[in-house]
Amino acid sequence: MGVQQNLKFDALVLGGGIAGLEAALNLAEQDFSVAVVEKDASIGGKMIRLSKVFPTLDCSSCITTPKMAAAAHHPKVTLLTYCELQSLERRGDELVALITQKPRYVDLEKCIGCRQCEYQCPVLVPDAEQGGLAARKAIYIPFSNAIPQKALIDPENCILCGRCEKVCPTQAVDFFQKVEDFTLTAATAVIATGFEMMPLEDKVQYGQGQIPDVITALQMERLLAPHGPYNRVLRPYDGKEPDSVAFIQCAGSRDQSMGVPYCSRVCCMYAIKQAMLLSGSLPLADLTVYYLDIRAFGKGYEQFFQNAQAMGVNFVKGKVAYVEPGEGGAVRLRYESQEAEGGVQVVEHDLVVLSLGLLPGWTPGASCALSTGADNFIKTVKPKLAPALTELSGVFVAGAASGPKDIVDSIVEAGAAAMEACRYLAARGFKAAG
Amino acid sequence: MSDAPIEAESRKAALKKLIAARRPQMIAATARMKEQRRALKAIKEHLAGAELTVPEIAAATGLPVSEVLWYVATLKKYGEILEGTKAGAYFRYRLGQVVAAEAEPGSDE
Repeated sequence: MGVQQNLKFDALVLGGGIAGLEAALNLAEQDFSVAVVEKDASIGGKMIRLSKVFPTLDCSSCITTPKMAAAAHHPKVTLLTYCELQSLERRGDELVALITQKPRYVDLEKCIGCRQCEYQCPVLVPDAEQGGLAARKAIYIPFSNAIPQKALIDPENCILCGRCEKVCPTQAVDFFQKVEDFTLTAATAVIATGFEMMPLEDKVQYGQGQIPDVITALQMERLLAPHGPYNRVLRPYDGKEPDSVAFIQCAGSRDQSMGVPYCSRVCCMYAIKQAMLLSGSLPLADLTVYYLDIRAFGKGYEQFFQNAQAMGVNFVKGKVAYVEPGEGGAVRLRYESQEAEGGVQVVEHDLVVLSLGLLPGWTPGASCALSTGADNFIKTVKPKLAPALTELSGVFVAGAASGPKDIVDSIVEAGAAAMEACRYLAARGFKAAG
Repeated sequence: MSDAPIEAESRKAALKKLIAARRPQMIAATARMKEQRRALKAIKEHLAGAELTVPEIAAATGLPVSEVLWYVATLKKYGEILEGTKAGAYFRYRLGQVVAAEAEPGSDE
């Protein structure tokens, strides 16, 4: 497992989500060569997994896929998927990244994405791309519009039965691939590592992920997506169309006891969006949002909130303290009402959606000289006047890597980070497009 | 990405070595797969010639209802079952044509 090769680019973008792709495309349009290093098997980040976006209700997949395709086809952009950054350090004028290429056990050049292997594979595995609500196979293409549209094998679940190998028309299956390390040298880097949702497993008050009808907001995104696990909104407990759906806001955010004292910023708006979409797909269902405050700060957001109220979504001011299984798959909520009735209230819903706090997608730790703030997101040195600047010269940050933010702000910040990187390159004699 | 193209004769030895290295996870995955096959067989058998809801399939097979939904969603994804008519708040499911033919008595599962 020695270091196999050294790749050289003008710029490195860490993370292939919407912020990373936007930064990479901006840099590439200035004629700089860019490598996008992505930990997942496909680019697209969280945005490609969403149903629709607020407040425009555009189909998320429809507006993300062209951006993904543009990056994949741009002559100046190289996509390095299924790669983990081991270290990033400055050596003189250069940034040197040590990167691990995880094995796909499928030859990227040979695979034509026909999925015949997937159909033949006999092993079912909970599909993380569908929130675990349906299965994939041990050999699989991550999702229908993944880029690259190539299969990979999950070695933890592969039984080496050889069916995939036999059926593959291009002999792309390679059980003998190994982990490989390589170095990547660049003059500048943009960190766009996004966010992860707070894990549910240690949250006793929210059922620790053991109550089937208590789901995360990202699972609800999959239920609402056209290619979701059920192709419609059903209760994961028994496949019933829910009569009442509750959204619990600040489930982990703004709560010192859960280690996330900050506001995750996007939860109010995505819960409102999901409630509005549900009112379309389940017109007879009761939809209730339990909230502390509604933070509708962006352009068109307040109007979006008012539209949801006008559509009949019920907003209840109160902090949900506990959820537990009710009768027949229902979920019982205990909350402290701040409405006129006050006091502790107990209600039941068919399905409960948790707006969990957002955590950093990546923390540098010992792998890189970047430091983090008290919230563990990447620290920016001039948060007001130059929010893309980090402590490390030539390394810039974009999107949710520096703190929770919505898609609009992530795109804007990615443009700013790319501009800072262009300026940095130009000052060192690298030529942008004329 | 492999060290070198593996020749046919040495491939067998390399595969043996790989199987030995992955034995613990392969045993666990095989056990899971066998359990899945039993569940899938039971679900398909009860759907042969019938259109059932998830709770009805669960009652017929004795499998937990949420587990049945997981299998039904997966079978639907791979085109093996189809969504049918609605029964109250639930949808009924039936076998796809190819699977229905395979599930006929006398055919191998």
